[in-house]
Amino acid sequence: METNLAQIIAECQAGQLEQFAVLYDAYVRKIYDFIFYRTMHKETAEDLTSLTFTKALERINTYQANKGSFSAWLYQIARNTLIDNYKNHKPTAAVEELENFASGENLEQQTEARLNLEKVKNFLQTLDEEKREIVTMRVWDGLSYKEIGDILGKSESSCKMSFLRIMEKLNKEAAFALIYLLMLKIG
Amino acid sequence: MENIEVKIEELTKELLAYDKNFMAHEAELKKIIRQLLMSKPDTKFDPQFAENLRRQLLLKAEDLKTASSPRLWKSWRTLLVPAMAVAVLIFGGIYINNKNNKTVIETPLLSDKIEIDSIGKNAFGKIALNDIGSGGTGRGGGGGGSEALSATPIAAPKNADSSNTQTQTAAEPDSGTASNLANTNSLAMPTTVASPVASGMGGGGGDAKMIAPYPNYRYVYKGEPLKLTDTEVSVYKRQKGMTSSAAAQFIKQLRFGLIDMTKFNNVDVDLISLMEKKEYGYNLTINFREGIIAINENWELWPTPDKQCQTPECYDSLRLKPSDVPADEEILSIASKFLSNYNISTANYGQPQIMKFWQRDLEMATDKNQVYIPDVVSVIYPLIIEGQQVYDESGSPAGLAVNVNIRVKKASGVQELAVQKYQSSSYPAETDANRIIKLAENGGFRTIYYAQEGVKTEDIELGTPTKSLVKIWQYKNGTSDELYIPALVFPVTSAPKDSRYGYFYKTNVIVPLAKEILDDANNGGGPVPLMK
Repeated sequence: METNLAQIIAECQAGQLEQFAVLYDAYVRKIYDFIFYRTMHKETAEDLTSLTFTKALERINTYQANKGSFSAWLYQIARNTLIDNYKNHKPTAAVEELENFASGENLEQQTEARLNLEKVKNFLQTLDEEKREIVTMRVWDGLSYKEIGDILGKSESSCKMSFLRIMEKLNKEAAFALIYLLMLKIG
Repeated sequence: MENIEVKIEELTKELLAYDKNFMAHEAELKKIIRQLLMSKPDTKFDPQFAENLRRQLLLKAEDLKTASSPRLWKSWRTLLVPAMAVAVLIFGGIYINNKNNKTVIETPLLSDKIEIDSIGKNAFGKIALNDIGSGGTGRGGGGGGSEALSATPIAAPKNADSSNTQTQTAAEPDSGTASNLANTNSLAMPTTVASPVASGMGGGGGDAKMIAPYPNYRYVYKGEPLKLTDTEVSVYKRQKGMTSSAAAQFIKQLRFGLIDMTKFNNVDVDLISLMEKKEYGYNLTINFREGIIAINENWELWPTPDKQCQTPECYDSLRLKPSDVPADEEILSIASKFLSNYNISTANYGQPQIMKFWQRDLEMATDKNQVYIPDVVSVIYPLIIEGQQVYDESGSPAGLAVNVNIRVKKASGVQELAVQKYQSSSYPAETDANRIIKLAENGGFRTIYYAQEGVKTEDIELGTPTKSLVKIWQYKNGTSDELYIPALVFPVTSAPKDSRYGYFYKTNVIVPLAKEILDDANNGGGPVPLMK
């Protein structure tokens, strides 16, 4: 896929910008999900996805393959767009609302998680933002450690090690399911 | 759920591989990962949003291209003045654009930008009115099949006005819509370039062993209750008449040896036809009157292997096998590159879809090598008007069609490349959900079926509909108009799979929301008999 994308990117950079649609098709769902997991708000996710791809289209000429994958480049734009958005609109959401975002099927877990809310909040304070990002990127976004490293500017092994340590920590804590939703919103 | 299990295994393994100390806690680890995965939110991804954004980005891409193109405004005087003069005369409003050191003359004529002018209510008059009946925009192709297949029991129309309707519905279960366009063209449609796309929308193939009688089909609505609150809908009418009187004025000055053009009066340019004189070149027809362009292969210069055949055995030996068919990605890539190469914008269209109706026959056939695989498949880029996808009356996506010759892996033509200039006008909408569902359960508006006695009845389940547009042709006073009517598209969620009758091809049932159209389908078009 990367080989084909490299050709498409080259065509875009040569002025055939309509080829950007191919890149868009390949990534729109991933980027939208990436943003949604961090905003938990459909309209905001759509707005920021639009912004991300508009920026990517406008800046496609600045992408350099020797500095990282296109995927990482695009996720970086999405991440920066999110950060800009956080600066202007600190997200807020009630716990009750957050429950609705879970996939369903695990109502029992959700109930249990709600009961553990205080514990969750305490837990959140123990994790830094980067660690939360690593777990989210690996588990929910399905990114490889290499991609995560490229996006966060860290090494692959460092990302893997962080993930490992977080798992160790989670192993000692309870309220796993809702923890994550809250980590994203409150953190 | 299966994906979650795979993911759990994958994540667990990599952690264990990284730190063996985790082995003692493998079960707990899996539990944690499972819970994290299970709490992954439903992101409520909206494909319509993605489609809209895609279009916006393509428009943006066009703007960026235009903005970055080096124009020769300053040095235009250095260009060939006579050529300029001719171009100005013919097309008006040009500017010069220098790409790759080639002079390009751009014209706003036959623009690729979508324009919609909203006008008053009921502005198009009676939209249901048809002088000669209402044929669909059939996708051509298909047809054929065994005699048994062609014996599908479809009733004759009740009156002359519905002659084309009968053809349309004849395609319903299996036989394709091959003859639709031919019929409508022969009657009144002035368009000469809007030929059907190459591949059939169904039908064709068949096997004498797939014997009649066909079962009766009964549509059953299984979707959610409908709530129709809009009392009006916007009907769109594509604007035509892009004739170039300036071009005619230029030609009118010519005096050929055979004829003196100066003697003609009130002349407009209607059609321009061009041909590429090269191997695998194209024929291009620009229909100014219809505002539509068609590209077809220049047959004389397409050296496909079958051109050398003189005998049926030769043709048989060249028949495509399932393994000869390129992957979908490759077909889409061929279509996309062709459009890109000829600067044909897809900004007004949705995600391309490959029309491979024979694929269904292939899946059902016991001897797959007996299934006829055509050389050409169509890639349809569904037209989008104000965020609504367009379907034809048969329920298939309608829009820009790129034909791909899969034998030589080249695009062999483009159909329905049309100027997207519309007027919109509001018309009363049907708000009676029961009536809409009843029509859907009849197989859609204008569907005429007569149940056979003594054969079994097969249920076809319909799901909750989505709102789209249906393209219909309106014939008045010897001319045709393209109307785009808001409609509900009911997806076929479950269809009969009895291989004796072939594949049930219909994927959607269309019911327009404009009340007048429905009233006409019931009255002007004669009664709509229920399927058994």
